[in-house]
Amino acid sequence: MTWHGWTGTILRVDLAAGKVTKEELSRTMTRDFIGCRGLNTAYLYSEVGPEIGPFDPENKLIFGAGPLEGTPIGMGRVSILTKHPNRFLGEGGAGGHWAAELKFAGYDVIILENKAASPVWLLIVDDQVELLDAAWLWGKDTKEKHKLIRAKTGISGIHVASIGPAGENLVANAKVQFTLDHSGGKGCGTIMGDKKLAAIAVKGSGIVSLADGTRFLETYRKFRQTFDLKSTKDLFVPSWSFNSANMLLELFNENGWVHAHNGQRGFFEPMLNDVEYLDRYVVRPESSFCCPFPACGRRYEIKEGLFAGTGGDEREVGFAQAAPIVGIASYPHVIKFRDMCNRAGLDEDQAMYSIAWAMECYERGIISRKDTDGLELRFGKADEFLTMTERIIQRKGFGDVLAKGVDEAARLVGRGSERYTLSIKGKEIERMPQRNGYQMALALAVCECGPDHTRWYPPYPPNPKSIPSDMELPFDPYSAFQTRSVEDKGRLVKWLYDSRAIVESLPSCVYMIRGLLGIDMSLWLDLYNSCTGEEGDVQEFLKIGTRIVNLERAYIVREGFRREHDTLPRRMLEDPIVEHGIPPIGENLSVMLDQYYEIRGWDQKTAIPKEETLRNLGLQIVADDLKQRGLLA
Amino acid sequence: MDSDSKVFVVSSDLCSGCRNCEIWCGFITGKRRGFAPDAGHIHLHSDMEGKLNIPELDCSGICERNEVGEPICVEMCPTGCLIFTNREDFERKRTSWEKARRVQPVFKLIVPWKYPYPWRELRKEEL
Ligand code: SF4
Ligand code: SF4
Repeated sequence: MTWHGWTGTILRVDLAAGKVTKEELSRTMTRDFIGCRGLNTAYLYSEVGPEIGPFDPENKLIFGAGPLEGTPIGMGRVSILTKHPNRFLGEGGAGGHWAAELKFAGYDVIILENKAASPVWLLIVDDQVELLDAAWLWGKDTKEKHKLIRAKTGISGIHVASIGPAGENLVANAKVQFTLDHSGGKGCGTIMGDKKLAAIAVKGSGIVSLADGTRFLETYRKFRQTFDLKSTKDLFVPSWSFNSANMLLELFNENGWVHAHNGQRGFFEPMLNDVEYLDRYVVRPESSFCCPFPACGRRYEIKEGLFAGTGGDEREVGFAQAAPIVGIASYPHVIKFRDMCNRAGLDEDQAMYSIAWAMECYERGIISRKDTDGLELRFGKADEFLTMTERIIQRKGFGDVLAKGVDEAARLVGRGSERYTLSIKGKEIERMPQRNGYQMALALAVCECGPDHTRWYPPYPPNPKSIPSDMELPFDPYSAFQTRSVEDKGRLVKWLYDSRAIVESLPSCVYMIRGLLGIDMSLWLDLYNSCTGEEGDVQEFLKIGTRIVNLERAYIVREGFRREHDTLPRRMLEDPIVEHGIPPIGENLSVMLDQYYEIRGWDQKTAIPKEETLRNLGLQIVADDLKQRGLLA
Repeated sequence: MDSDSKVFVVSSDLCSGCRNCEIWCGFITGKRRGFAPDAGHIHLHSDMEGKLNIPELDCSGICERNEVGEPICVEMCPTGCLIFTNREDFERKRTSWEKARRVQPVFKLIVPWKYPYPWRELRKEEL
């Protein structure tokens, strides 16, 4: 069979038996789920049922690249999927170049099964695929691992996905770390550590074939035009082009969007300054594969003073947005923190929000020095913050408690500390505003893989001038983006989820959804069709997105997740942001959930997709599965 | 401007390592059949640690041009690191960039010939 876009080959690796097999991709599956995130979910759904526990050998770890990966639309995005230690979908994306190399080597997906008896690593150079002993890599941090692999293979352009000590030590939400500080897949690093897989190194020299190259180029030029500074209709494009997420700082403070002191406050006085960051620490641009933004990714370095020599590459980081959570206003400390997380493969959000929770408990007298091994864990204590981070990675003392994730830590500590955890479905939240951005609150609550902004980002309204008069939007662009009203939020969030599911399955980076690209799917469709030779229309295309989200929901339903799990931290539901006079969300969440389930065709009481909904999406087989398990009437 | 005297100039301190040039050159050289990093005349050399990116060219600008006369590698380069021009023009550009950098640190990341100063006109004494 001729494949355009897809390579048509998947790699199945049995880590216990040390066996690698190549399988042909199924055309029906790619039509239904495209690739990357969508296709991964389809594999996980059919191969890892609820009877399999996250740490059972039968749990799988899947790395997927989609049809447009390896083309300049792919941006190097990979989607990693496993059953998360908390049993929801452990899905995460990462950029970089790794996935593009996987395509050039000739593979769309890697499925890793079972557990190795001792540490192994996987080497893929075009046709040559080998599972090798990794005793010499185990215990090293991710940057060392990458360096050692480059030296050992002698291939300078080889890209590596690896885990660090956090994954090896089974810290709850450990991530997978790629070359040049790209990372993703909270919880995937944990399962990778459990399977004793140290790294996957890839280099390819083949071709990603196009069905119609000329049409692809024409469409791509239109795509690039949407980011053209002279013609863009999207306010975020210029600032994002130059200054990435750091440009949001003042806006965040003004609007109470920061979770200062574990979300107790919406304003942080000694807020770090983005101009200082650019001036002192940024060196030059450094981006993912074929990223069209000149400076979304940047290289930073501390040249002198505290932590001199520490450096790395960042994208959406927003160092300064993160610092208020633990009350820190020192660039060297947050840069050092970032570097520690990258080397260890530790999820920043887990570290940040679990330490912030401990700080709040400390200040409230719930825990004391006795619990924290002598550390005075108060907000603003920057050195203590770093020490605690290191103890999480090494699972030492109180660090071992936090390494289990903030919910489990609160359960162990007890004494009312559960009230102050900022987590959803047992996973620490991200820095996304909730009390003053109801679209984000709802989107985070219903997410199938714990709180994850990439599944619905960006959540801001399109410039009204950029909406063509003949375009019918599935939501009202004026009311849907009113930040503190429930109006139209269900329809908006459904649209955000469905459209982003497609973009993440092509794949491309969700930050590309700017201007018209956020509301008009036809350009994405054109790119998809000219690359793969498919001929579907926009309606069909959007249906794929809806299908993917429904399959993901069916997956977590099978694992026991219901409406009551689609919720927010109590801080967001019950506490106001005092300085800004912003009330808690309260009952509004429930109203928005009702809207969302209704428009989705899911049962409002349970959040289980109705049979009819699944059938209309071509997921009868999933409906039958749920019925057999007594989950559907 | 005499197009024959045009050469490629690379400001490697601006190269983001994105490989747009490499990938698109392979696309054109390979007759638009697809994307193959090894197929073209330009290759990114990177230390893979974020400290060094250099696009290495083995080409004098032979392929098709877009409507403004750029080869595709230059057209698709998002940072303005790779340009195709004559020496004099490049010197001029480089000097204006140095100046812009002194006024606004954002010009560590972008260049004025690709992204004109977006916030205000430069004052006379700054030029
Ligand atoms: S001018 Fe054309 S052939 Fe030469 S490097 Fe650039 S894209 Fe390739
Ligand atoms: S397109 Fe420009 S920035 Fe990207 S690798 Fe090539 S020269 Fe560097």
